[in-house]
Order: sequence, then C-alpha cells, then structure tokens
Amino acid sequence: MFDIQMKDGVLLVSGRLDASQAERAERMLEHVRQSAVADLEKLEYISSAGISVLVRTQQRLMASGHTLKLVNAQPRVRDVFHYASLEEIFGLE
Amino acid sequence: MEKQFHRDFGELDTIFEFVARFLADAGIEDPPVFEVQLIIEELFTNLVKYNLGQHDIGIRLQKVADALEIVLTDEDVEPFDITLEPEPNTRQPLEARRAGGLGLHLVRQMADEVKYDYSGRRGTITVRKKLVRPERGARS
Repeated sequence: MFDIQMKDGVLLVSGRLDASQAERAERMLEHVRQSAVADLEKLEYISSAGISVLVRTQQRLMASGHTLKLVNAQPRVRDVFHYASLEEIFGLE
Repeated sequence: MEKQFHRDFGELDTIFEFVARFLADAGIEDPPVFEVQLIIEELFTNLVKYNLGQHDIGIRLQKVADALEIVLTDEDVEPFDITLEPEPNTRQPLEARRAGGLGLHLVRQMADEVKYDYSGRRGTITVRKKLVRPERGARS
C-alpha cells in the first residue's frame, strides 16, 4: 500500500507507487505548497505513472519558486529516475 | 505460465503477484522482479488506456533459451504498434516536459528486444529480457 506521512518536516514515502495508486498520490501531494524533502527509503516500487505524479508536483512547486527534493531512493527506484533523466531535477545524489 | 487479466488498473496487484510467483518458481533472479513488473505494468496500462478493446488482456511469461519472454495479447482491437511510438525528449527542461511516452521509454531502456505483431485483429507485444545469472533452485 502506498502512503505518505509527514515527520519532522520530511515527507516519508512508502510502499508501491504504480498506476493504481497515482491518483491517490497526486491528491496527497496537492497539499505540498512549499519546498519539501521526500524520503524514498521505504518506497519499494515506482513506475512511469508514479514518476509523472512527482514531475507534475515538481512543475507546480517550481512555478512558485519552490522545489521538491528526493533523498534515500533505493537503487532500483533510483534506476527509474536515471532512465527518465530526472535525477538532477529532483536533486537525487 | 499464462493468465488473463481484466482491463483495469486494479488488476496490477494480481499481475505483480503473478510475475513474482513465476520468477520465483523458475529460479530467475536477474532480471529482477522489479524490472519485470515495471515492464509489464507499462505495457498493460498502455493497452488499457489506448486500446479500446472489450476482452481481457493475456500475459504469458516463459523462458526461451537464455531469455525471459514476456508476451501480452489483446484480442479484437485496432493496430497500435508501440515500437513506432516516438521517444520522449528526456533532455528537455522540466517545465517543458509533458506526460506521455515515458512508460514505453522505460520499457525500451530495460528490455533487450521489443516486438509488435498484429494479425486477425489480435495485437501481440513480445519483450525479451536476457537472463543474466545462472538459475538456482528452479522447480521442474
């Protein structure tokens, strides 16, 4: 089950972000209105549907001068960002 | 191993279980379950979104020589050759990027071969992914 929790100012993202969870994820992220950090340590899976949700969130935030930074992505999740050439845009180190 | 799935994103969990069970039973560790699930999700959701079919979608997994073969079949549909779809420009700045095309781009990145066949109003997508490591503990 996909989930996002806020703890100490960090978005803790967990579970699987696939096409069946994308709408739910988008509704959760609509509440993010300022620069934020999302910890992906417990994100087990992401597909293009999940990537698109994060891209739209980043586009919305950047339009108002803010950013979403992603940290602690697991290697396979990080690979997906790499294939999409999105590591730099999300600050993945 | 082959199974039919309803044209619904809600089928993804069942598809993921189907993939994980096949790979475990076949003793396949590489390609990893993550990549196979992702390839199939991208292809399955593409068919659900763009093929206006009425029938369930078939997914077949099998070992063929030194590769894993993934076959998706969609009956009674118009032709839609995914291999002819243009690549998205992943070098564009974020503000210029648009949704669409990323899923097939990921499939092309991860797969060794992607083929499309259309015959008798049946669309068939075949993906091959090379097996990297020797199989261990495979059940006969």
